[in-house]
Amino acid sequence: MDMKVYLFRRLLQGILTLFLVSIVIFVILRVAPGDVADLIITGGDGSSIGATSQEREELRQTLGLDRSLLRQYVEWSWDMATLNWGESLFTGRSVWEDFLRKLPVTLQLSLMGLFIAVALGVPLGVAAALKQDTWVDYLTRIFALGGVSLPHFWLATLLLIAGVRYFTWSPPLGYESVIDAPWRNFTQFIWPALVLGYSGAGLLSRMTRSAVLEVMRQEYIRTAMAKGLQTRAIVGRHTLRNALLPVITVIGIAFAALVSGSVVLEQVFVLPGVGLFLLEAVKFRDYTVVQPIIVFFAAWVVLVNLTVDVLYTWLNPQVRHG
Amino acid sequence: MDNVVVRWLGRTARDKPLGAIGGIVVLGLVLIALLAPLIATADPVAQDVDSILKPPGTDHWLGTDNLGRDLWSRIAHGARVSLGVGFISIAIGSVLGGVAGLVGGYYGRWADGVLQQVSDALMAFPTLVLALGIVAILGASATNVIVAIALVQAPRAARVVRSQALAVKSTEYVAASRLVGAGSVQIMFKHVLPHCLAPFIVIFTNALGIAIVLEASLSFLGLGIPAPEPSWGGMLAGPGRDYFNVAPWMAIWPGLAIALSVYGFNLLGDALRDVLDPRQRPL
Repeated sequence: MDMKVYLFRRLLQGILTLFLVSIVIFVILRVAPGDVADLIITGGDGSSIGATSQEREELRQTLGLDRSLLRQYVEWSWDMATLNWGESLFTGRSVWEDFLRKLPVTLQLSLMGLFIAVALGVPLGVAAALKQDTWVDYLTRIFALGGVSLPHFWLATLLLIAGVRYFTWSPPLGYESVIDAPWRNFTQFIWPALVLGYSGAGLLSRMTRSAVLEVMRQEYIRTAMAKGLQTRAIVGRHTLRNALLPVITVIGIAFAALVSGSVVLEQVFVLPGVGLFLLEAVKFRDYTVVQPIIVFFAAWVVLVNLTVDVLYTWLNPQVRHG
Repeated sequence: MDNVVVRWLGRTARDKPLGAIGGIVVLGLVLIALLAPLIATADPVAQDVDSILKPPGTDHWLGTDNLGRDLWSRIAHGARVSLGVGFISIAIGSVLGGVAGLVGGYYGRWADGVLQQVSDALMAFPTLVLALGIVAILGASATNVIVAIALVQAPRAARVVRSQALAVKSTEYVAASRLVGAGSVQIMFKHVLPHCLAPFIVIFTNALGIAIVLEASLSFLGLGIPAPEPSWGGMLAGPGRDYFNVAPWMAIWPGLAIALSVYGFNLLGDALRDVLDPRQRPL
């Protein structure tokens, strides 16, 4: 297939996914028992303290809940897409402006985590596959499974306890941006990034391992062995070049997983990022904040996957040369 | 008969030592969960002002927390919550997703297209964010955590079963049974379904690990199992965190319990994949 046609179709598909994502969020928000107006008034525990039915109707009108579902959806998704996110129900501040202020924190944490994950996970995965069923493989797999199994918040908690108990160290509180105070910023971010990176590395090395193993089972590898090529040539020229292509896709998947991790780690390390923003909003049932942030996270993952697929197509000679 | 099974188990365990370890961990965990009321030494929610922050010892095997609650009893009862929530949510999610995947993969056409798109959309959400969204709407309770995790699992199960159904659909024996007059439903249950079982079991096992972490994360964030119900994630959160520096055992045991069970399910899942999924078998 022509590459341009493929890319165009992939882009359309990404947009379709985003559209369905928005419907999923819209539906989830509307299947709530009662409606959003009730939840705002009662705080969700079903006790409508002092709210008259007239107040309720007024709120319904201001939220547009009295209009048809289709019209609600169209208006809502238009607001989401045009960044017309409204104000927080609790702080009254613009959600978009708050979001913009918090975004760099989450971006920095995720990118640092991703960097550590790739730098650690991919080489380990390759090593484990090449030395399958030896102690290298076992040790790597145990290490990797640790990354997948040990919950972020626990590792982070242990880190904090150990720091205070044995090194009289605790992470500097009060977020500083990388521009204002680079070193302080680094000491704040490196620990959550390491925790995030370790779990990402676990995932990546497992997937890299199976990608390499998959390639090693291909017939062209057997052919290469049969014609007596040196192991180094087989590994370098035939195995890795083919196996690392799917690994790019895996990095995309790992990046999505890092998002979940960064939500938790921002809470533990009190980093004022988008994840913490979402958490607080969920706790206070601040719908005007929860909606766009969830849309943002989903859109982010869709976008990363799209980029990864485009990159994959671009790098894959089979596709490139049609 | 028994001898054969035992010998097979022994052989498999020797081939897959890590898987055997996983199996033992999972078995132990299930036993602790089932026997929790018998093996717990105290009421898991009973507070005791006389034994606050006791280190592990003979009276309290794993020590006590800042409210004097016995940690061993809380861990054992927490196993019920973790495994129970995990198993129920993954079972619901896998069965719903599995049926959708079976139908989509087998019938193809528009059913498949719709299924694929919906599962793509659901998988676009980072797992924790989707779960947070659902809890934000429905409120924090065990039931809602189950709903959230089931929704995370369903598209993943659908995907695995779909690809298997797709592969089996075009085999010659399916064509042959259609030729002798078997109906779609019969073919689906007799030929396609059994082939989906192996990958289904593998992702079910791995998903249990993910579910345990997800439930623990939600409870840790204060949006999962409500206190004082003992849950491993919840034990790591709340006002108790202020005491972790003086009583690190409060933080160590619940995390260890989560890590060990997820580790167990992952090891077991990996081994099951090697044994059950022929494509992954070494040459």
